[in-house]
Amino acid sequence: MYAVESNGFTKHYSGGKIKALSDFCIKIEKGTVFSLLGPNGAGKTTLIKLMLSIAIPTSGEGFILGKKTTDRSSRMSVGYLSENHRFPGFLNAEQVLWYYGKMSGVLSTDLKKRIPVLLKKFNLEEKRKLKTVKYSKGMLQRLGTAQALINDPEVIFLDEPTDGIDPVGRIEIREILLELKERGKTIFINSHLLSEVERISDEIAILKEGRMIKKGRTSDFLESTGEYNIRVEDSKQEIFFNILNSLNIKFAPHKHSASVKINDITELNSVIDSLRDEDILIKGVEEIKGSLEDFFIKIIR
Amino acid sequence: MAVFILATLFCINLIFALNVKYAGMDTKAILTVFGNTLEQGPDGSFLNPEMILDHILSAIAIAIFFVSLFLSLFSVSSVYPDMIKQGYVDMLISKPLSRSSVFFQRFGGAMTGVFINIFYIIIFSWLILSLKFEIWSMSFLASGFVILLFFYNIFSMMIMISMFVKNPVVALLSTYFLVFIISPIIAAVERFGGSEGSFRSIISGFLNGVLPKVSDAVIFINAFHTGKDVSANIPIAAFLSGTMFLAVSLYVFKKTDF
Repeated sequence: MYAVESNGFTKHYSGGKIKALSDFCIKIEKGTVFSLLGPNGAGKTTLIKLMLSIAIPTSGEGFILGKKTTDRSSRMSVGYLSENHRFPGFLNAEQVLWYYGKMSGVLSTDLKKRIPVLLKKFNLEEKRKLKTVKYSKGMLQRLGTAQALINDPEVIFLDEPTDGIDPVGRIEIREILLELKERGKTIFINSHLLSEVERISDEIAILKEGRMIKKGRTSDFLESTGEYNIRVEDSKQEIFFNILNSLNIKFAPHKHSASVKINDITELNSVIDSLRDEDILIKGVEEIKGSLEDFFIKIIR
Repeated sequence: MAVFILATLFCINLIFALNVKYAGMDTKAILTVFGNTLEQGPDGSFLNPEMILDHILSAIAIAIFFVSLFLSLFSVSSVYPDMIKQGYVDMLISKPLSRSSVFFQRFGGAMTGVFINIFYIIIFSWLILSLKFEIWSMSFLASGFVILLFFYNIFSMMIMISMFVKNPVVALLSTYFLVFIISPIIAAVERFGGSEGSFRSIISGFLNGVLPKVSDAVIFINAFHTGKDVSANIPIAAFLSGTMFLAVSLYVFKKTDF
């Protein structure tokens, strides 16, 4: 049984003129952090809405923890943070969590224990009595994420969770997500912040104009640049650079290393052999990979 | 809260503005309204305490109907447009609740609020009048339910409008316009007749059948107190019309992509 499954989800608007999502198929294992990337209007939010029955699919079906998405009990173990969520302004943080917790079917006794823990975790403890109408964008985002966790869900859908949050808050949210991942929760993220996605995701899919154009493990998206960073002992730096010059290999010298551009793995091995022949102690060899952002820009353009 | 304050001011006003003196049920009564004494009816007859009370209660019930209707519609106008706003409705629907229960929870909440407001002013003014007249008329209390029934009809229509226009101001103004302007005009056109079978008369007949009619509410409330015969079709039509609006609204809510 998959945590999230979509079989040919399609959503068209205006009698098929607008194709928000076309034949989207995906299977996400439990405990996976899955990120959906794509430019604005690619259909990322539409997919989440179809999974949660917020929008009605034109065709196709979805499952959450083995239950059809049209069955409302499929949402019992689901947490959701909407992209532009809003709360009744006359409620404070405690009341918001209580209200949404009750709607998620959480018992009052459990809510009394969970609410203070979540408020503390999301740094809202001091502002718990402040009405949400006075909250900043970042505070609302943290409260929204806390709300998504109020029922201790197995599957969490987060639409732009770090939107409007400062760098420190972003790191805090990332740590919370990693902690949830360690606890075996399945997390489905829509985000524009590719560096964040790269750090926490196990799997990534890229959507463009309603179609999935690539899906795979995060490492698959981090392309090899054909460059390696080779670190050697400091005293042999000079000899190291001379060897690279003699082998006619392009490189960029650094303080304790050099980024070496090679054609294939055989060439890398011959560089290493040459260095070892000169008794140079190699401290490390690391492949330099392109960032997710580089890959994303390349594939979208 | 504003409705509570206005209701309280209305009742306090009633305590000081209205006074009646009489020796017994079959004796002559003297009515004082805002310091003006009234000893005879328009036809020169003596005032009967029971008759005065019936008319006063009827007038107050109609006044409460209009004031509470106006204010209650204003106070609940944003309930549904706010609920269906992006970022709010999706958070509600994502919970393990059916769309029907989300819809009716709102409806129940709004109706309960209005019920409390209406019965607050009804019971408060009933107590004042009953103490002053020493006649305890239960029909006045029951008129609260009549007001609530007509509110149900009009509120349901406003919900349906909200589902399409998604804006509280437009929904409220459209409701006021339909209920207080279009509906009386249509009722008058229907009463005084038009060419049978014409397109205009079909439309007019349809709107007259569907739109909530405040004139019917006034007739019913007045008859309720003065003991006149009145058709039971009036409350039945109000209930059916309200239920139809509610059913359409629920259908739209269940079929909308948010």
